Amino acid sequence: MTRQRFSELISAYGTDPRRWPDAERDDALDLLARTPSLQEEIDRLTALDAALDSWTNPAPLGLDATALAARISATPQPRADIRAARRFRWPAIVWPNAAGFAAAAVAGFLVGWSGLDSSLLPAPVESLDQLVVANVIEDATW
Amino acid sequence: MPDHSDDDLMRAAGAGDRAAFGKLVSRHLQRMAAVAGRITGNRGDAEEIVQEAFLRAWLKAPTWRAQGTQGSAAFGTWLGRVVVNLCLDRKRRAVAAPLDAAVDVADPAPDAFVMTARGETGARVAAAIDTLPERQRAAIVLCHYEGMSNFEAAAMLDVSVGALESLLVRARKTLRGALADLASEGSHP
Repeated sequence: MTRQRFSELISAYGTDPRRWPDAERDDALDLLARTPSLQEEIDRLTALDAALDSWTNPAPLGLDATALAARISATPQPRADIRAARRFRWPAIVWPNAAGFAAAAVAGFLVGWSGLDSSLLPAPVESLDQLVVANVIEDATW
Repeated sequence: MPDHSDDDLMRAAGAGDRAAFGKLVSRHLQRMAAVAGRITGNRGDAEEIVQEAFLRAWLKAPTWRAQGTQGSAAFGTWLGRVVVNLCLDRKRRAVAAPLDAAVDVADPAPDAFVMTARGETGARVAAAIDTLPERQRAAIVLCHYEGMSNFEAAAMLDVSVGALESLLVRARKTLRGALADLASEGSHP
């Protein structure tokens, strides 16, 4: 626990140690006990906590737990087996598509790898310069 | 069923056990109502949100699966996240509603039920908190007023603990400014 972390703690959680994270509370209290100057930081923020605490718990809602539970549980629940069946429907659709895609990819690779009649392909560009010159001529003709 | 965990009760509710669901509602209603009441600041909204959250729990029950080893905490966190999200959605909708439709929208401002029996200071604090950005307001409600742990509050807001602390720091800084006359009393003993 450093002074900086202590300052972050009280800036976020306030000055009441009960609101500090469990994992850091003891270390923070130890540091506070060893470092009296930290009490000034506590004092500076204590009034805000006191002000916040003046907002007491609002009046309870007009909900009765028994009546609410009875009303809600009268609603039919979705059947778990139907929902489970729906969850397994989509893979049945996706897998054939995925298999078809994979087969097409393999076929494409084999055709390319085994060599294709080069006369069926567009004429290759011999160099990058050739391509640039062609584009310049094309642009200049507009 | 005095010692059953929330997960046990959810599984029983999922099998149609209405008494088990009643136990869950009894166990969590007060806390969820407090969260919804403070975040929305409006009794009507809070009641609707709590009812909606428990209805979702009932409909979720047939497919409920225990989340981690701390089953009870997991259900409470799940339910709290539903409540917080419904509160934030309600606040966003109220702000985004067109002006000409304003007559149909519930007033999002704190109503009489929150403003009564708290005294002038409490009313000022409630008003100041109501002006905070929604996630900052929710963070303050969960951590300061409901005493939730940083992990639980972060899970309900669906953010990291670091992000939660950032929300809290900004919220408290704004509140210190808004309540400067109250918040400075302690520095001048």
